[in-house]
Amino acid sequence: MKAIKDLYKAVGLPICLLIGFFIFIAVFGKYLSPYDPNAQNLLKASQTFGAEHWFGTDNLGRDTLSRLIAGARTTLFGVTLVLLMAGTVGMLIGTISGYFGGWIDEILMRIIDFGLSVPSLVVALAIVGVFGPDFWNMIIALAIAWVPIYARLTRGVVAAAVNQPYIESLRVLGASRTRIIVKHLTPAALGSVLIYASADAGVLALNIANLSFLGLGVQPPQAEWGQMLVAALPYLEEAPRLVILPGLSLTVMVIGFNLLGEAIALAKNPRPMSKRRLFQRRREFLKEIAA
Amino acid sequence: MMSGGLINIVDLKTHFRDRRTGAEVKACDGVTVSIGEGEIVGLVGESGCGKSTLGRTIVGLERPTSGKIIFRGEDLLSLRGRRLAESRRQIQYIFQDPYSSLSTRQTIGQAIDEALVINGEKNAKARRKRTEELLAAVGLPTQIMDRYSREMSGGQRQRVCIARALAANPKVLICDEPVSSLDVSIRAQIMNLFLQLRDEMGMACLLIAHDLAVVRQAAQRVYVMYLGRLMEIGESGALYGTPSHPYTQALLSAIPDTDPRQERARQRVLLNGDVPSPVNPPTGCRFRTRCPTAQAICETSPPAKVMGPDHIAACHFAGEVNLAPTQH
Repeated sequence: MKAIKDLYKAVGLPICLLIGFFIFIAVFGKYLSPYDPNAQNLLKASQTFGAEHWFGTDNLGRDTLSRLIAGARTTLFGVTLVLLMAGTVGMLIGTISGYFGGWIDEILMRIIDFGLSVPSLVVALAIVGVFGPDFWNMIIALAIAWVPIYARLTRGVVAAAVNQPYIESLRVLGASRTRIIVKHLTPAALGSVLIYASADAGVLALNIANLSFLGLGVQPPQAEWGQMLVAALPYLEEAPRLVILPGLSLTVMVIGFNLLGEAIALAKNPRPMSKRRLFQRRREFLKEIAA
Repeated sequence: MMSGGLINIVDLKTHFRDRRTGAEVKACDGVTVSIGEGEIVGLVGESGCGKSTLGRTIVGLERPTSGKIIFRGEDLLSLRGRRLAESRRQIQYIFQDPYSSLSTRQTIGQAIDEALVINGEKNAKARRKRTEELLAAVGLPTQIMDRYSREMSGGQRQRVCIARALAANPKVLICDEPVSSLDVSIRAQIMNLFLQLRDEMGMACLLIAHDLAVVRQAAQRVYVMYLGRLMEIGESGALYGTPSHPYTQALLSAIPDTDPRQERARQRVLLNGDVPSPVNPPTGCRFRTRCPTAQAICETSPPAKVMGPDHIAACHFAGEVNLAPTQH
């Protein structure tokens, strides 16, 4: 409870509200959306902002607001799944590597290095290319592409902790290997992994949108922001709001997660990040979004 | 030398392989130590002489290359499984740095409680009571249980580490420089705590230190180690009164005297050069490359000369040289 309170204090109200808002509409979206996001009504197609359809309708007469809400759900569900899978597998590999060291560490880390050297999106593209475009294939592809970074992160923390006197004194006391790993090494790594994941969620949301934009992820008619973008492209001139609205939603979500990750990292880091370092990070991040 | 001790380390060798060069580092190279029941024994030597390696090998943190660790009549290196764990538990280790010896994520109560759980105590109430007893035994108030280690001073943390080690009901404590990272004013308190544990619980201690002065106050017998080998062994009074090995004499001459007149008369023995590499130690006497009295004969292994009861020096000229005659 105290940890949650500390976290809230560190992150601040605005970011909490922003992230809370996205999570809220993702969870309760079904009850909030005024229309069925997939219901077509050609009689009311391509309407602009209005009283009946607040954010208008698309070329097939589907309610844009409902589709945006459904898109938030799809994105956050996907991000959560990928982070859970990649985090679990990555932490497992990282812990094994860091705890045992020696040749096990060597072999696992060379494989991880290989995974890290190939851009994650390329790995995901290759896997989707082989297994075909589909929501679940995309999730698994992204999870596989995201494992190396979490494995590397965990391994670093575990390898640094395993020779610390507090772990060695547990060994002298006769603590079992399971106890040391489960009760001491994993929690030590979990902190870093969660900090990283909170910022990484934004990058993943972007990648899910990217893949869906390319037609490799979420398939129509399921609503997803990237998929909405690509469907709206032909009507860019007549109805720019169809492109701008999902794009804006995505941007705000990604920025939200980044600020969250930054705030947590800042709070957990005993040596605060300098202003210059912060700006540098933001610049890198903006470049990533622009790309 | 005592042979019927509680723990006898016989000709222990712990060699490491340097990962880059593949060379064999002879950190601890044939050391024989015995500790009696309820006895405090000092182990002194400069950095890198292998004294920590010896301690870590005894508690199983390093794998020995050869030798025996006989604890209560059984060789730990031939024991396996439950019986090994049972014996190991009775030999506990106190680390030099009390700051990194405690998890930052546990309160003091939780850390000691966990040690009791590992030791097999299942009843939470009994564990709490025992935790309070242990804290009292090391002179800490029970309110400290809910605090994190970062909220405490170095001396308090070291006490907590000792309490946690006591949770395993050990017979021997191996203390690796237990006071060298503490303030001078706190050192005496911790050293007195070891004396108190010996008097009240019959705890045996191996006090590892790089400074003969620290050990003097508490240890009954002292081992002087240099470059992986023992140089001199002696009952405290004899070793400090009539040091027979040139290395011990040099170490002792480095201790300042509190009496100004004695201090002015103190002759320091300055050793030249650095400690040779433990990868390729000198033949014969390990100390001969830095010894002011070294002769040709020192290239052959020095004999273990008996200087008195419980007093042995590994030097060809033991008892014949005195580098600093006016000392102690």
